[in-house]
Amino acid sequence: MRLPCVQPNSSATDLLRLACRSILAGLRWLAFIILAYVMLGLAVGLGGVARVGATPINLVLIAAVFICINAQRDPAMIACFVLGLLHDLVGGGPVGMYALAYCCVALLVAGTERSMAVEHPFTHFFVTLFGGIIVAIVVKFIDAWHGIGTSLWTDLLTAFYTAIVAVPVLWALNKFRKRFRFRTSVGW
Amino acid sequence: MRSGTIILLPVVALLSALTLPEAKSGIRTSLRALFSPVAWPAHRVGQALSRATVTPDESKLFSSELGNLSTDALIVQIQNLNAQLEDLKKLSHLYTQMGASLLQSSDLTSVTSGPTDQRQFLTISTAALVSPRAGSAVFHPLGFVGQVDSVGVGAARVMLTTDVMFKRTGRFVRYQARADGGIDIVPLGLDQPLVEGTGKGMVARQMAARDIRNVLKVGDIVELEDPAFTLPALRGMRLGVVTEIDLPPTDAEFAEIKISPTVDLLSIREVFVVRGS
Repeated sequence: MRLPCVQPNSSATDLLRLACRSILAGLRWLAFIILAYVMLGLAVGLGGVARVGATPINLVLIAAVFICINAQRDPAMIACFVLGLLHDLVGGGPVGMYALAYCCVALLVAGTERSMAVEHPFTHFFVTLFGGIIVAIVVKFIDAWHGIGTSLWTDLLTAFYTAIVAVPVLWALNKFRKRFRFRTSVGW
Repeated sequence: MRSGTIILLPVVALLSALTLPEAKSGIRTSLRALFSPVAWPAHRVGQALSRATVTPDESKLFSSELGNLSTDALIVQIQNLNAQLEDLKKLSHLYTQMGASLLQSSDLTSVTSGPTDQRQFLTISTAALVSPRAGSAVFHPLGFVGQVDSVGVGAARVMLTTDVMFKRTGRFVRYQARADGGIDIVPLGLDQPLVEGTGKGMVARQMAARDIRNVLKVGDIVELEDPAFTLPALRGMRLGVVTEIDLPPTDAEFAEIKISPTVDLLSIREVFVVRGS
């Protein structure tokens, strides 16, 4: 999609339209919806099984990391917000908790694709670990507000185990990377 | 606009996280049903894999580590296991014989998903239930599981005994072997503990240290003794086993007793739901 340039005499509506188009063009949203559906479905279905001991594995975080390491910041932020909101609605906890957590991950990770090897397993492991730690901190912060009774240690272990699982999952997702038509920061 | 999106969405998420409560169970159940084309086969495959890879370990019925226990505690544990065996025999006999109050007034159903990240809930199918309603007791032949928290379309959510919102009274008992090989269930004569879920297990706080010192031991059983449950057969159902007693230095203070559920709530696949509340 070729985007129009901003002219000095552009109106506010034109700017809004341009911004919306740039966000929509940053990612193929149908592919994202399928990814979100599959990962949330797996998270729901494997809720009682995908765990190491009593520590669950956060499959939605892997989807969020995949979007964050490939997409630009704006589409990544929207995608992570949607993923987090659905995670909140399907799982437990206050609505917005995971949306905030994944938004924070997008804020810190998205847009840095130029500075890292996005297809390297080490990148997948460490970015997922970093994302998991961010999620753990945000969840603990919201927990302190609401008094849900989560354990920071369990959430950190979840981050670690999720990072291990993320390596093969993101390797597989990278095979479908072209389907997402990510637009990088290098240029349109 | 770009920076606007960057700021707006986290702010919206933060405000909603701080102000909004947990999503209503009806919404959650409907959304979960929406994901069932992926969730259901994933669940079946996951169950099959876990069955294939995990060998049943009977010692996990009591989650305390045998290696860390003293001789006294080991004796209590062995008595408990013997008692459990005896109890299961009785239970089996009761099942075949009675169709009694408990089984007549309860329905067997399958567990569709396990505890979530934040809360200790099971999701059960309501297809086989006659009149599922919130507050109904849920149990397993090995012990009490929890209570129905909410009922949605085709599924109900069960708050487990390990959930942080779970609070029920119980009583401490010990199984003692008789000379003839039978087992006596001996109440320890302590105050009724208020058993609360902690997310990982259960705990009984506010127990006077003076009373429980030298009386309560690791391995003793906590049974359900709550006036909320009117069905007599539910009283005396196992809630858990004492795994740790945190005694204060002086008798004037309170002890904290950690309790582990007798049922392995993570791998439970079928439960009984009592009709009515």
